[in-house]
Amino acid sequence: MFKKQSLHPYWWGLIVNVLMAGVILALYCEAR
Amino acid sequence: MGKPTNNFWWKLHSWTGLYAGIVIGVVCLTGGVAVFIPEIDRLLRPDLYRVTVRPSQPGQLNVAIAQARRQYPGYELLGIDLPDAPGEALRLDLFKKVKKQTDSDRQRVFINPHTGEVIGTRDEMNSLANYLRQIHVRLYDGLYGRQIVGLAGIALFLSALSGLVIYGNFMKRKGFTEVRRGRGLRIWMADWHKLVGISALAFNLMIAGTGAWLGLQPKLMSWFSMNVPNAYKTEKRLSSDADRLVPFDLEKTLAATRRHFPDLRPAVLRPSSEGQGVIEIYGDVPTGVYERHINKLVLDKTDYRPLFKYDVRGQNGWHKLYFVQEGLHFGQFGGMTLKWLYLALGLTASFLSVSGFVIYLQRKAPKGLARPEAESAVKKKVFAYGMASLGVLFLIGFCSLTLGYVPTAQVVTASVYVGLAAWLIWEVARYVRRRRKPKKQPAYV
Repeated sequence: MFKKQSLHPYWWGLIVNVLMAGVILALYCEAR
Repeated sequence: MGKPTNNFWWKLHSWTGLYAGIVIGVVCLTGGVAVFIPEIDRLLRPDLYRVTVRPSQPGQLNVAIAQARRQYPGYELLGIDLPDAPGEALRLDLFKKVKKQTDSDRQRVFINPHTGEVIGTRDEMNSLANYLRQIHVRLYDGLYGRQIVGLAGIALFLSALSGLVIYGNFMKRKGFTEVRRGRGLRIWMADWHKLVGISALAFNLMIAGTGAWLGLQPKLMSWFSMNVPNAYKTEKRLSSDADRLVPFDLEKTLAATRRHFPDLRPAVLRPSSEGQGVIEIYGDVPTGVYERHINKLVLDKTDYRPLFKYDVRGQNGWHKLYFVQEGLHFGQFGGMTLKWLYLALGLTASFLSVSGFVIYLQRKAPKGLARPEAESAVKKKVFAYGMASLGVLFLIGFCSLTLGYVPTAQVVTASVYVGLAAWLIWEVARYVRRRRKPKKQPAYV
């Protein structure tokens, strides 16, 4: 799927981790 | 991969995984379950927690608390846990030191806050909730278990960090989500290991860092003579007996709390018993990811005058950093969805432990062995280790619920150090044996 990617997997990793942090932040905001 | 720097990080990743992997796997599995302790406890014991809401009489609760305490003479009142929601019981936390610290008796008395009726009691130490907590926090090792778990936190942190450094080299010609099939168990597992590891990296670094601090905190704080930031110290104003005899009025306490700290949602009340003549009210404020029940109001026991107020929101950065550790580690700040997410992300570390073990064993498989045989042997070994670990966890749980926490913890504690000593002797013997053989070059994944 991402074989011929322009981004190095490090960048994909960063995106996934930032998204995860975003989900956690959103859940915190919703619980307040 | 031949570069010395990468070699160092690769070795670090390999060593931490090999020596701490099994503890990391177990601690993360039990931690994922521990997130749900309050829910599991309430689900299994609705007879104790659930109450029928009825119109209550003023003062009835004070009478009920006094009555319940009379049923347990010689027990100290450690605290009163207020109901989390309407329709839930109020709990008295009673404690009696029998002989020494490890030989204590802790009872929880459940009271209907509307009628004052005592619903039931429970030996807190031998409950499932205590098992789930103690197995995660100290692996049932009452001596240095908490520190061992703290060290496993450091190991997980180093493992995640070194994994991040070496990740780039393994991914030079590979897609981010690419999992290669048909090239053997090692490649397949290694691809999953990298994908899961990098995706849950930030979470695992956070859990590892906060977990390491929480595990090592008691010893570190005592070595460096640090105080808990919300500590309140007052001189002894009464004798211990006189302090215990001062009547304690729950309704007046709650009214005074509303007056002096309106934002506080009180959760635990602690009347003093050593002569301070105070009532401490612990609870939560509406914002922030902080440890539960660390905001505090201290009232004079006789006239409900405020003596001390601790609102974490108004404290300096160090206080906030101190209390954010447990808040982040426990994941209780985003409702049930966040708890499920914590469980899933927590299990990634357990998966990384298992998949790392598979990769290691496959790499170390005898060269002359055909791939299917080698893979079958690895699968059997990993399955045996996994089942043995789960079996030990269930056995400890079963013994704790039937024989009791104290004898179980004593046996586990002794076993841990006998086991560690045996392992150390075995490792030294292996090291001596290896030095006699020529060194092998490591084969990288």
